[in-house]
Amino acid sequence: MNNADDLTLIGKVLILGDKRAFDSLTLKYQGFVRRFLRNLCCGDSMLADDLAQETFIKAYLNLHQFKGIANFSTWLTRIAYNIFYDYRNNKKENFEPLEVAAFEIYQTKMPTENYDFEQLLKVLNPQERAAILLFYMEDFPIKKIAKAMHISAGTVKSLIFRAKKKLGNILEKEKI
Amino acid sequence: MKQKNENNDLNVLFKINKMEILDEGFSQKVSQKIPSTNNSYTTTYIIWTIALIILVGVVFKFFNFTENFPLLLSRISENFIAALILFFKNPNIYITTFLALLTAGGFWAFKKTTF
Repeated sequence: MNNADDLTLIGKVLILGDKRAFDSLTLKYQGFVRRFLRNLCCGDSMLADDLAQETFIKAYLNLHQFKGIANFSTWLTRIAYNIFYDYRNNKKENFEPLEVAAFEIYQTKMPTENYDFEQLLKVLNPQERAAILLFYMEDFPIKKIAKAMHISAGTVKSLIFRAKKKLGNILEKEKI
Repeated sequence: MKQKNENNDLNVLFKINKMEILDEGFSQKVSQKIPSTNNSYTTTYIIWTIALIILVGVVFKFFNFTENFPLLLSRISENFIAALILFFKNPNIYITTFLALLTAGGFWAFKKTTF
């Protein structure tokens, strides 16, 4: 399904109030939104699914504000990120990044395959985590990440750079 | 060179941890939590037919088809069923044309807004 199909479905929801069309959009994007939030929440799947539900409900209620300039996926990512950010602001203690030194590696034989990925993500702050997840995992271009996170492309680049440096240090240490 | 290797490592790291998440009833849960709106096929049809009633009224008024038309129009606008009763009790060319236009226009509008 491409962007034109998304727009058709959105049109059906807006003009005809067709909930089934929105179900199709939910079905299409649930995997991506839930994965993104699950990684942002460092593996807390219950919390991630709650936030994902909130994302889709908010998207449905604000669908009339979607102008169709950006892709639906970008718009949805922005909602998901904002919801996560609001949640994180209320529960700061759960999302403080770990110091790189405090990070424990459990397996070392084949670093890229055996890392506890969710633990690894904890060394990043939420902004760095979001930027690097969208860049490496979801293959979002820098501009799209900037739109989704509502920051400049330069800031996205520097977030990715910092995140790469932190993760790179860990990977490097484990190789030696 | 070091940076290139680092990039490759991260690329592999993120790609191998990219899990596919199955729906497992998630969409259904979202669907159940979405509040129902007033929008529906019927609402769209009613909005379009009201718009058409106004349009036909203006056209009839403009061409002065009948002196009694404003009265008829107000009756129709107030209650569509009243117009139908009027038609069945005393069918005439104006009401017949109006109902035909209304039905055709409504049907056209309905088809236009249905993807």
